[in-house]
Amino acid sequence: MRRNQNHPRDDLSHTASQLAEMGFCERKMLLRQRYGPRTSLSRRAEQERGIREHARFLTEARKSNPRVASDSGKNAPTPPPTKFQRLRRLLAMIARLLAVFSAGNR
Amino acid sequence: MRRDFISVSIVGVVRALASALRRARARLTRPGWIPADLAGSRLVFAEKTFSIDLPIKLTARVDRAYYDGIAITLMELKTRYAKRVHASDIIELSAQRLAVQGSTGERAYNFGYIVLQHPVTSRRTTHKVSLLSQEDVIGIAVRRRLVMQEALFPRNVDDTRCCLRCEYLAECRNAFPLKSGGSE
Repeated sequence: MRRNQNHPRDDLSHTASQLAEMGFCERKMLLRQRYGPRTSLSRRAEQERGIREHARFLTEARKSNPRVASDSGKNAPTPPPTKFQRLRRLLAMIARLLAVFSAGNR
Repeated sequence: MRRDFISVSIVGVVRALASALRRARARLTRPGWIPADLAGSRLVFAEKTFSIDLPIKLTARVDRAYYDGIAITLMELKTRYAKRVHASDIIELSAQRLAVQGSTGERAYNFGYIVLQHPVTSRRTTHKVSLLSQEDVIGIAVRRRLVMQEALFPRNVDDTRCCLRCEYLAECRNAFPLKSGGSE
């Protein structure tokens, strides 16, 4: 079997997700190490959906127990934007475009 | 003396009633997908990461952990169409158990819950699963290291549909021709 010298040979650290891959397909795990990570469009959509649902799961947990211990900061999952937040962003973008357009016409 | 006995009895009855009311309210407000076993448990961790160095270097992120005063019960959320628990789910939850026990010093039950949520309807079904032992998890970690070091022949998934969806299908067919089989 060909060896790729660019990848570390002694992988001592594991994550629970990486160990879970052993229950699915070991070859895919090895090929990802050889050729780098690849994510198809469908897989990316599934991952994004999973992130959204986990954020919602966390929000429900915090409602159930506001003092529940969880990660905070950059690693914490953020809940998906609400309709009001999306509308506000859209209006801000339109206002910026109008400002640029009107400044260009003067 | 008689008055003291009566007052203590009244206090005891009131406390018992309050506790029963709390449990009844918890049962009524508990979502249907949460198992009845967890009715008396407290949600202690949600989206929390645990890391250990011994017996293996392991990092695990727990979706939810409940504590009933005796041990911790782990819960993992999965979003998928099929109402089927996979071996990978059990391995992941078992690894989380190892990390939580090692990190907190608290005992975790040898069973956990996998919550399967339908991507479209968002309907949740909960499945109770038996977890792997610590030795099994360590054995999987050791095997993973050997496979990544290419000291062991990697196994493949025994499902053609999964292979056809794989991003490495072409490389896999080149590296592991069909005649070489799927076992070490």
